[in-house]
Amino acid sequence: MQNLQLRELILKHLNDPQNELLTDQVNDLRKSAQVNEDYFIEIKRIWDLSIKTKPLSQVDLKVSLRNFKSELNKDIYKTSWLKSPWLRNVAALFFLGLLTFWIYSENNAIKYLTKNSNGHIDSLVLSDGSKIMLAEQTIVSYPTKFENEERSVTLVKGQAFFQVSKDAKHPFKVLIRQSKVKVLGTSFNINYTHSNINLSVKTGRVMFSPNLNSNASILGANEAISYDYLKNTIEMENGTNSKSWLTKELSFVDMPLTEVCEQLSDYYHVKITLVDKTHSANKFNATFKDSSLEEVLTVLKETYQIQIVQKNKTITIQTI
Amino acid sequence: MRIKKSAMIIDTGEDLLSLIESGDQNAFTAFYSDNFRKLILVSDKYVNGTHVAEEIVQNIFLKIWEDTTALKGINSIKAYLYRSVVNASINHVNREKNIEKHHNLIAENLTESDIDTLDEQNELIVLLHDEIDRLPSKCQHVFRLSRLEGKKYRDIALELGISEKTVENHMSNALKRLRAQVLLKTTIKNKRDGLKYYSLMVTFLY
Repeated sequence: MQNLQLRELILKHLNDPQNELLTDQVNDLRKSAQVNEDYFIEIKRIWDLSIKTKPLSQVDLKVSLRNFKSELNKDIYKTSWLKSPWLRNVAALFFLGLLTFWIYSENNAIKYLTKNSNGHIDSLVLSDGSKIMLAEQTIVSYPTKFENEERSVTLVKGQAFFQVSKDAKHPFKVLIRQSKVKVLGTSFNINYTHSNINLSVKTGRVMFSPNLNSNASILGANEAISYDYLKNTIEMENGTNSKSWLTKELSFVDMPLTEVCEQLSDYYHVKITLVDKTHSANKFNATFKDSSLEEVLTVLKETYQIQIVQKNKTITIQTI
Repeated sequence: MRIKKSAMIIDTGEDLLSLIESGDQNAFTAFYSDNFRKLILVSDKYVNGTHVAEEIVQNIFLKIWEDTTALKGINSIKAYLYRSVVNASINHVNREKNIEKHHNLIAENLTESDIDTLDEQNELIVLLHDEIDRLPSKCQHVFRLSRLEGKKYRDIALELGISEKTVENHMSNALKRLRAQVLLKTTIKNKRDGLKYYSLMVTFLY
């Protein structure tokens, strides 16, 4: 079929997508030959993307570039002489002398900043491009620039999700009390509570050192540990929902009821006790987004034969 | 004033650093010219005002010109620019209801491969914009009414006092030209990027 006729038909269809006759005609032609399908995709793509050019209609290329050039020029008095090699060398020697003197007479410390998220979720981008998402009531301490062999930040309080930029030459360290998490470039969650440091890895690999004396553990993607720093004990955990505080999404895949209750306790900050007389073998599979505890418990009731009793701040789930 | 398309390939922070240190304003402007509109498309999604978006993007480039220290050790200047624009746009937006969603957007959406895909699409959008501008005037007018203002052919026909068939012809002509130009320019680009076996269809895939 000629491109012209095909094109005209496709355009009639795109102009009036509700028209079933046109839709059927186009679909038949698409199925009948790969060239037709390819052609349709090309036309549709242009049709769909043209709307997105709208913001650019307000940008006049010539005017924009003229403005840009004039802004650059404003800068030229400040920096152009620095770009001339000869003057640059003279300036460099002069400043080098001053600098040497200054280094010996001043404590040249890199500035350390503290970020306190207070009552809401916050985020932070470090000088190497790494991102930190802070939960409420969280404090992170970090340098304005990473200049040493290692990139080091401190989780002073609370919970944060780290997305670390890959840099094999400069390992990234997070310090929590006496513990250390060391990575090259990965993403992971750390929750520093009143008794535990809970570490959960999303991508990549991290090395966790509880303190100077103990051996380090290496954790890979989807692995998690809980370090009780008062008792100095470490336990493996299920880390799938460690980032739920940020995504508001809970995911349960083949999870036994005992584990489900633990995860719900953590996320909703409610004490949930399980009395499991029947040792139900049913595994729980569900995903919740922005759900309330009531909604989740309702789904649980559908999966298991249970009775849910709420007394004060405790919820007891009993299998029947 | 003609700005020549940048002849250099600027991939890493070092590439851009050398360009800036050489003091070549024209080359830097060409680099800006090649990239600023794609980045405006990104910022525009957050700030909802193209003039503000353009200001934000321009400031990022001017800051880089003034202070190149951040460029050292950057592997992908493209990723750096995209992330800087997102962060600057979000900072501009300040206290709003959806601040959580925005923070999620930084963390979730901009992986390196996401950026590559987004950049390819944005490049196509910029190309389309320029080609739409080059359409013959009546044809261009009809095309804008249809795609940019979302009007049906029948309504366009009534508005312009022409027949619906004429509208269809203009649209057909527009799509024919746009498709030809897009194919042409993506072939050139693919040759330049040395992607011999790169199927043109990939450009059109969602």
